Amino acid sequence: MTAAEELAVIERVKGGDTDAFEALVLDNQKKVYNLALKMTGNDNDALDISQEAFIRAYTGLKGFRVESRFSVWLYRLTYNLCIDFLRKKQREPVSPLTYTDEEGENADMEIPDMRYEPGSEAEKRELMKDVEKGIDELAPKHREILLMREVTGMSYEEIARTLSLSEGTVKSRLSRARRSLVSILGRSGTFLNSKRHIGCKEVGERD
Amino acid sequence: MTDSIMPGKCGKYIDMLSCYADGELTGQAKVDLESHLDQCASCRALLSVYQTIGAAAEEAAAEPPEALKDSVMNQIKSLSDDGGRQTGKMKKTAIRRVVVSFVAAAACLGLAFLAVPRLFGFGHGTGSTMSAAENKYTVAASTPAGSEETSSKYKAAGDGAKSSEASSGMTEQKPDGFAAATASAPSTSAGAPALAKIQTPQSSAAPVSGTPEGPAAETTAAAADGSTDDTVPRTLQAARTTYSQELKTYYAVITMSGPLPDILNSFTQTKAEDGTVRIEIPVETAKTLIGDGYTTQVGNENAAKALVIQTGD
Repeated sequence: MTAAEELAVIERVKGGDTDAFEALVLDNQKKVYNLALKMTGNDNDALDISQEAFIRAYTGLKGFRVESRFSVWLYRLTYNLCIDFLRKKQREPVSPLTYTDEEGENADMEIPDMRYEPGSEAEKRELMKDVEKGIDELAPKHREILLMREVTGMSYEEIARTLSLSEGTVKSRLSRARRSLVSILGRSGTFLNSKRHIGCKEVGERD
Repeated sequence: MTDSIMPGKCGKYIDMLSCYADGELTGQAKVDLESHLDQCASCRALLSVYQTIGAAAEEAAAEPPEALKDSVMNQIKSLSDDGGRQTGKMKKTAIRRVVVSFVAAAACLGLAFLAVPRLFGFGHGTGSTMSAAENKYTVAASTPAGSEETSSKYKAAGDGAKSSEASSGMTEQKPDGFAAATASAPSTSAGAPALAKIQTPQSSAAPVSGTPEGPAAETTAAAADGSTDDTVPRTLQAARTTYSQELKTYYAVITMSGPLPDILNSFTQTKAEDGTVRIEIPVETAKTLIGDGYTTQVGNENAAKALVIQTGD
């Protein structure tokens, strides 16, 4: 949905056409749900949180002017709900096996010599599983920002507003998150699985 | 024999790769990185990994259950039944606002044409000739920018067709209006990024703080026409705590945990008996916070003030 289309729907909803809201739900539900799912790790919780996010968005819509893009606002609602939820559950992040600290400085990466491309469907599925596991192992700040970016596709500027960070921080944190993830994947042997991969060169193995 | 990544030599480029993979690297930095990529197989490999991860995350996205949409719409319907009586009044205001926004949009398109003819196909381009959408090393799998137009030297692995409906909308948020202009968007929305640039003086005249960039500027023109008097239906929210007394006297109750946003700094904070910190704020500030997504319970629409409650953590 373009911004103009979003606004049109919002105007209709405010004008009393409740059914029109469904268009906004359909357009955003996949990202909202996946964001909640990746952050909570549980599909029931994700469903609850997603519902709550949409309801709050709806009620907020009626009485107040929406200042920024509806979808961005909605992702922020979702994100905040997830954070609250996790805080209440006092969920500790899975303690990473790598030596990344909060900011995840991790210089060593095992990178294949050549371009890495999963070939078959099976390889792709393996990679997806590895990536999901890897994301779980990231430090919380890295996990959250990487999920934000990969699931919602928001620009750095939108992410900055959503997370109340500067764009510079978003940029550097994403970079570190990715490097950290690549490092985790390298260690778990992901890159060795690909048939196309020939000879992985390791940079200064550390223990 | 190809070298692996050597942090010393490639260090500064590694940090740029993430930004590049997201389509957010522009200008000279982008040019520099692309020429480095021409020479460095290891960095190309790392970029490829980043793109693959993005594609994997995208493909692994689950379909939400049907129950989600149904449940949301059901709850909304029961909410709106409460406020059903207001429909007539709201419709009129809504129509007026829609008309005004079309007029405003048309006017702005005219302005945009005068100021930036390039967007409409006229004028010469200067400076960097490649927009964010046209990464030389393609990122079709992971960039929100219009992927139809990318010409690529090195294609990303995986399904490159991430031209999802939502992403074409995202294009317009880019400060670089040219990205949206090159994507195949309908003419009305092509005007939107132009609005982002042209409307800045206009949007600063808007009565609300925390003013929007981009397409939201269109509403500002419309909303500035007259504030809405829409009656607010009571929230059915299954809140952990209800502040029923407060909701009678305040315009809204906004709850938050964690650090307070800067705009609240100028208001008095009071410690309450239950350990929460309470801050009275004007309605305009409340609207800004609501726009930022803070948890809100809707109160008395005639009240002059709103209340922020910070719960301890």
